[in-house]
Amino acid sequence: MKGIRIIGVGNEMAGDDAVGPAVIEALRGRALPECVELICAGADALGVLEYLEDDVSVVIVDAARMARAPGNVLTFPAANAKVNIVADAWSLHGIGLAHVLKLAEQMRLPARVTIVGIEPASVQPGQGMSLAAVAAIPKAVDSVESIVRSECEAACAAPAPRRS
Amino acid sequence: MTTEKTFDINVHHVTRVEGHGNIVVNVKNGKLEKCELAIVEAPRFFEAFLRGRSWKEAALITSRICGICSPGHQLTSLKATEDAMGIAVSEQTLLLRKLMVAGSFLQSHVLHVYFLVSPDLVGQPSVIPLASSMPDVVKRALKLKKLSNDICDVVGGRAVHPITMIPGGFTKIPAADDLKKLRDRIVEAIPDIIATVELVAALAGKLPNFTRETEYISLGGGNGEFPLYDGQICSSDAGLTPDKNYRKMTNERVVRHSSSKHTAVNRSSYMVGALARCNNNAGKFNATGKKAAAALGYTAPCFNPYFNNVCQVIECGQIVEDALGWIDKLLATGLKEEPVSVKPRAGTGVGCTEVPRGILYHEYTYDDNGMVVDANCIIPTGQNLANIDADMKKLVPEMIDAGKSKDDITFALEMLVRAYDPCISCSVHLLDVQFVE
Repeated sequence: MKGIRIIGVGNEMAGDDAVGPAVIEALRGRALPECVELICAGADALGVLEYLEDDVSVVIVDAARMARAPGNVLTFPAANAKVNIVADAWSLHGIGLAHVLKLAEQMRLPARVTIVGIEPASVQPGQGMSLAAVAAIPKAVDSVESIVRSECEAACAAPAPRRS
Repeated sequence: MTTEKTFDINVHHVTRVEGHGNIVVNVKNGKLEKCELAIVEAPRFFEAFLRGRSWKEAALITSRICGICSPGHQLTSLKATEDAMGIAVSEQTLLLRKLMVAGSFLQSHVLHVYFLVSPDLVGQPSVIPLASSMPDVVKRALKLKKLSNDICDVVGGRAVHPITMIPGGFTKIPAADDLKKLRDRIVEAIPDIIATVELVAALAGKLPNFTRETEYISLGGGNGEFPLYDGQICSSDAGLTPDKNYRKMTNERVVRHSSSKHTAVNRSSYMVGALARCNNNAGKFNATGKKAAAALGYTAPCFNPYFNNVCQVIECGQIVEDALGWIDKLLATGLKEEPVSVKPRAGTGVGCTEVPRGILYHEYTYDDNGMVVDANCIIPTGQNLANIDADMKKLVPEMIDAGKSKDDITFALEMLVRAYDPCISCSVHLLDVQFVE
């Protein structure tokens, strides 16, 4: 069982929302330690919840409105940010990552979550990623690799966590 | 008691439904003047996209109509193409397709009941407060969702927008071992289904006691099995009719307040979905379906639209037992690759299946090269809109007469819309972050 889960979230058909999955694709070409599991959750944010049920380190890569210029990449523990539930609409299509992080908190799920957020320029459907988002991909990859470097030794040395 | 005799209700947009719909109610001097569910989404023109595309692509394109019902749209599309080109499918293909239906229904129903409906029944605005008080309930919902995703993954090659299903059969047949594992997991999930029935049975008393008899349309007939994939169109008013007659069984028309068309057959509206299916096919419940129906206090026919959610839970039990039977048949016969060879030809065909929200129709006309000349898709939510309006028009005056407050009426209307599980569109997932100073 892998010790660090890197999860890309986002709708690949909605402009810069595609950046999370794109970072996961870029990471597939990198030499990563055995303990790293790459997961592309796509638009199924609810599917992320099951990866938070173990006491492991989880890095979520997603487009995030952080009041920064488009393309800015910020790394922060989920616990340190107030993630707003933007859409008041709970729906099966519309369960977003904000809902999922809130659910994980309420359910007291043990995973330690770090977010690598990429400020989007636009998340309009039907358009490709903006140049700012594309340029942010290598920066986000660096951020993930740096987390992996600092976490991996401990994770690989620890006993394998059990997945339910 | 309400003191207001004149008030307006404008719910912009109704939450915990798929997509955007507004509830608009005007009451003047205690009399209902206007009451409707306005659908404000732009049309999506899938039928136009299909024109000029190949018979091989139709199912893949229409799958994108919905991220939740993607297997259902594919299956309906495949049936339409096969009907147009005179393609017969094997028993193995039929059973595997039914398994896809099972996975798709289970996923949609479980998530709808647990995440979108249950908060109404316990008086919470969303599932989030439930997650801290009942984390095991949320975990159970997720476990069932994972199982249903995996059913679609094993059979369809992917949990959403499956890739192995093609006109005539499958590009890849699941390994027997994978099906056996799936069977074990479905058996393991039976206690979770029973717990789901018990949970909803305990809360069913909170459903409004409102009834309005309408016409119920679903699949019917068939071989005695609860019909979700094949059969004829069944109306509670008029009985069975072949799927070729679907236009007469829908009669789409444009209305001013909705960007989605309305439909009607023998009355001013009709209902599709779990309640319609159960009302029309309660005689075909298997043992698990019967047990669930008894536990949930459902007897056919039931004219309370809020019971659509109860029927979704009955169907979860029904489907799980049927799925085990289909897997057993597949394993007993032995799975084998079946090469598919289709020679496209001109023709028109209709496909009709049940998807979680109700009966779904696709019709395509192909030219000699197997290119789509014309297409028509009639989705369940569109068929339910006129019926939701009619329910609201009966419910609001009843609640005014009972002296209910505007807030109570608003809540009952939102809950009513959610009971139909309408699926209006898809959305973007984006994080909005403020840093804690």
